[in-house]
Amino acid sequence: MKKILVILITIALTQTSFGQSQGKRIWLSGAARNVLFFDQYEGLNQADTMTSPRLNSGHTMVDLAANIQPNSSTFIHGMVRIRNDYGGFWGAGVTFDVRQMYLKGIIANTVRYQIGDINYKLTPYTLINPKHDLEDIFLDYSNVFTEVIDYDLFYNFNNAWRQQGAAVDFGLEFSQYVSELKFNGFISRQNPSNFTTTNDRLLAGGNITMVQSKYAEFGLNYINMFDLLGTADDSMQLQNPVITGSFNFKMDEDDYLAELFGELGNSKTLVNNDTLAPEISDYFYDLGAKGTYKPMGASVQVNYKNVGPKFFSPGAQTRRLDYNRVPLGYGRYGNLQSTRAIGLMDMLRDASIYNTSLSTGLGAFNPSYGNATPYGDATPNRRGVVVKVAQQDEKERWNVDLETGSLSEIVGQGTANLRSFNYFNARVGLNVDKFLSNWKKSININGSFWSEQTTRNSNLEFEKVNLSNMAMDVNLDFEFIENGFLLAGYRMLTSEGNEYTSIRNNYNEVTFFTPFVSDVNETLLMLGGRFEFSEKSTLSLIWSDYQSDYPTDLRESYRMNSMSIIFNMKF
Amino acid sequence: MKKIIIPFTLIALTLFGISCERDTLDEGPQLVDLFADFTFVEGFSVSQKSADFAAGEDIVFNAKFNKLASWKITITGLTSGSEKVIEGVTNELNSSNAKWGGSTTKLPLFKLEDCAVDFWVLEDSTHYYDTVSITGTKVNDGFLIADFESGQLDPNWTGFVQSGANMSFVVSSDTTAAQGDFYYDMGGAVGWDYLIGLIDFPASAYGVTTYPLSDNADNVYFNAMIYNPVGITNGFFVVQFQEDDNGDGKFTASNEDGYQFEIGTTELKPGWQLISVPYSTMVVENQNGNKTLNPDKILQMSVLFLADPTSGYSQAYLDYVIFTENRPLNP
Repeated sequence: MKKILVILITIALTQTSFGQSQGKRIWLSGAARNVLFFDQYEGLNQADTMTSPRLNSGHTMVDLAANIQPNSSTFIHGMVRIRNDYGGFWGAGVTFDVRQMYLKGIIANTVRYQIGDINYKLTPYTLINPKHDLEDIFLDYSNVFTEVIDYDLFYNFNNAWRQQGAAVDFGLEFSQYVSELKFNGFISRQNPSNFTTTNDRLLAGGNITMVQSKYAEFGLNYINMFDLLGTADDSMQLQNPVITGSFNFKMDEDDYLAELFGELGNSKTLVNNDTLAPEISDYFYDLGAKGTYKPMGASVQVNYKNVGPKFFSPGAQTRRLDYNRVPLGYGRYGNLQSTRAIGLMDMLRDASIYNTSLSTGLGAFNPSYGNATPYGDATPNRRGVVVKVAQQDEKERWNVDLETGSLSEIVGQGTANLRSFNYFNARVGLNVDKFLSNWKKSININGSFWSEQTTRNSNLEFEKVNLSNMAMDVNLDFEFIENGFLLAGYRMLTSEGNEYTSIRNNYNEVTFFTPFVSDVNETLLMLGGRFEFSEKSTLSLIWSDYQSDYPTDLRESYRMNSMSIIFNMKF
Repeated sequence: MKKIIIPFTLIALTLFGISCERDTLDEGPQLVDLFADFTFVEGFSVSQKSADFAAGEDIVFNAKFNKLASWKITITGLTSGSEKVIEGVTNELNSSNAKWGGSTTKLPLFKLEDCAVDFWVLEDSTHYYDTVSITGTKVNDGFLIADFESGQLDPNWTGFVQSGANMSFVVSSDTTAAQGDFYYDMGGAVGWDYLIGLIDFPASAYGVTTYPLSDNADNVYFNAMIYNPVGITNGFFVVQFQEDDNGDGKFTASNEDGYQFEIGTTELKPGWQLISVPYSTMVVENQNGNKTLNPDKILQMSVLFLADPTSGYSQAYLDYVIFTENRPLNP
C-alpha cells in the first residue's frame, strides 16, 4: 500500500509542472509542522521518586496533497501524512498514512456530490460536532495549540464531523410562493463489520430547507444511525432515527433585526432481534427569539428548551473530549503511579484525548468542567431558559458576549428530586490598538469568566448535590515588532462540591451512580511569543506553568513546567 | 402567504406538543437503595403462629426496610428436618413475595409439626427468630400413584423381586420419609441380572381403565421422590409406561406403544430428591401402536430398580409418586 502511495505521489509531483502548463489541473498543497514539548514534572504532596521529572516529546510531520482537476466539474484530492515522532530515527517511529481522500464535483451543473472523506453537519439536535468542554471560556493563545488539534482531528470545519461516505446536494428555485428548496443528503460508515459479531454501522441523513422568502425559512431534518444486516452473522440491528423540524422567521428593518427560530423533533432508539433492548423514544424542542439593534451592534437572545431524558441523537450528543482516555504525557504519575486525570494543559495540547468518531452511547464527562450541558445543546434531560447578550463595537474596539442559563432536569436520577443548573459566562475582547490612533500594530486583550452551580435539594443527605465550578481566563496578544507577537495568559479553574456520575449500559439506561467529589484548583500561566513569517507560516515559543491541586482529594497534586515550540506552515 | 405562515407554525407546534408523551419515571436505581444506611421501617413479623395448609391457609411474613435489601427466610421443620427457603431483594416483605403455603425447598415434606423461622438481612447483622406450627400439611394437586402411607403395598399393585441376597423391597417407616411416615425400600444384591426388583402400578388399581391424565404429553409430568443412600452409586431406576392405544383394556407390545425413562442414582445427591420429568421427554421402548405419546392412555406404570450384577449390593427408596399437570410438582 505504501509503495503504491509513494508511486502516486511521485507521479503527481512529476505531473505538477505539466499540469500547471495545462491550466493548473494538477497541483500540490499541504502542511508541515514541528512540535516540541519539554516538560518538567514535580509532585506537590510529597517527594515523587517514581515519576521521571523530565519528559521531552514532539513530532515532525508533513501533509502532502495531490489536487487533481481533470475537468471543470470534477475535483480529486488525496493527502498523505509522513510523521516522525520525537526520538524516531532511521525509519523507527516514522508513520506514513493516508490522511484524507475525496472526489467531488457537479453533475449537470445541478447536483453537487462528494465521495470519500466528507465533513458534515446538520443541526444542533441531529448532527453537529459540539465544542469541547470550556472551549468558549478558555481562549486559545492566538490559536497556537488549537490550530494543531483542530487541524489534526478535522475539527476546523464549522462544527462538522469528519465522515467517510458520500454526500449530495442540490437546490430548486421557484418564481412564487416559495423562493427556494434546498436538498442535501449523505451516508457514511461509522463502524466496519468484523464479519461475525458486528455489522456495518451506517449513518444516513439529510435535510430539506425551504426558503419561503427573506422572512421565513423552514427545515426538515432526518438522520439515522443503523446497522446494516447481513454484513455479519449478528442478527441484532441498532436503529436510532432522529427527525426534526426547524424554522426561522426574520424581520429586518433599518435599525432592527428581529428573529424567531426553533427546532423540535424526536428520536427513537431500538435494537431489533435483541430481546433485552428497550424501545425508547423521546422528544425535544428548542425555541428562541433574538433582537438586534444594529447601530449599537447589540443583540439579545432568549431560548427555552426541553430535551427529553430519552432523546438520543448520536450525531449531536457525541462528545469531543473522552474522559475515559489517559493523557499521553505523564499518563501515570506519583509514587503510586496513578492514572493522571485529564487537565487543562492536556485539553490544550493533547489530540489523543479527543474523539473522531460518533458514539451511540453517552460518553463520560467530568462535571468539574461543565455539568449543565455536557452533550451540547442536545444534552438529554434538560429544560430551561438560556439568555445571551452580545455587543460589538462598530469600530471593532471591543466585543462583549454574556450568557446565562437556568436549567433543570426533567426527571430525577435515582430520586424524584431534580437537579438545577445555573451558569453564567462572559467574554470580553479588547482591541487596544483601535483606541490608539498612532499605533499600527495589534494589541489584543481577552478575558472570560465562567461560573456554574449544580444543586439538588433533598431531605436525605446522600441525595443532595452541590457542585460549584468557576473558571477565568485573561490573555494578551501584543505585536511588539512587525509580525512578532508577545503572548501572555493566565487561566484558572476551581471546582468544589459533590455530584453523582451516571453509569449507563449499552442501551443508554442508567444502571448505577458513582459519587463524585470535587475539590480541585487548576492554574495555567503562559508566556511566549509568536512570529508570523507569512499568513500561512508561524513559529511559536510558549513557556507554561501548570499546576493541579487536589487539597482534600486522594489524588496527588502536581505541577508541570513546559516549554513548547510549534512551527506551522501551510502551502 | 406571510399571514398564514406564523399561524401554521403555531398550530404545528401545538400539535407537536399535544402528540408527545413522555415517561416521567426516575432514571436509574434509587439513590436510597445504593447509598442509604439500612434500617427497618417495620419490624419482621409473622401473620399467624399456626396454619392449616390443607385448608388453604398461608403464613405471610412482613417487614419494611428503608431501602432495597437482600433478605432470606428459612423455615425448618423441627421434626422432619424439612426446609423452606424464601428469599428476595426488595424493600418490603409482604404477601406477594414472602408468603408460605406449606411447600418445601429441601425434602422431606413438612409434617404436622412445629417449625423454626429464621430471618436474615444481608445489610443487617441482626438475626431474627420465630416459630410457627403446621396443623394441616399442604395438599398437592395431581394424580397420586403411591405414597405408601398405609404402611404396606396395595394388593392391586404387582411386582417382582429377584431371589438375591439381602433383598428388602418393603414399605418402611421413618420420620424422615420424603412424605408422611412411610416409603418403599428397594434393595438387594443380584449377581446374575441387572434387575433387582420392580413394582407395577396398573390403572385398574385406582378404579380406572387408563390413568386420568391430560392427552397433551407436554402438560403431564411424572414426579417421584427418590432417596439415594450414602455410598450407593450403582443403582438406577427405569420407569416404564404401557399405553393402551387400541383401547382393548390390555397392553400388547406388538401393536401398542411403550415408553420409559431411566435415572441413575449417581445423578442424584445423597438424601431425598424430587425428580420431575415431562411425559413428552419419555423415550421409546417399543412403538408399535399410534406412535404418539398419550398420557391419557397409560394402562400401567412400572418402576424397575436395577444395578450392574457385578457391582454388588444396591439400594434406593421411593416415595410420593404422583402425576401433575401443567407444571412439575411444587412440593
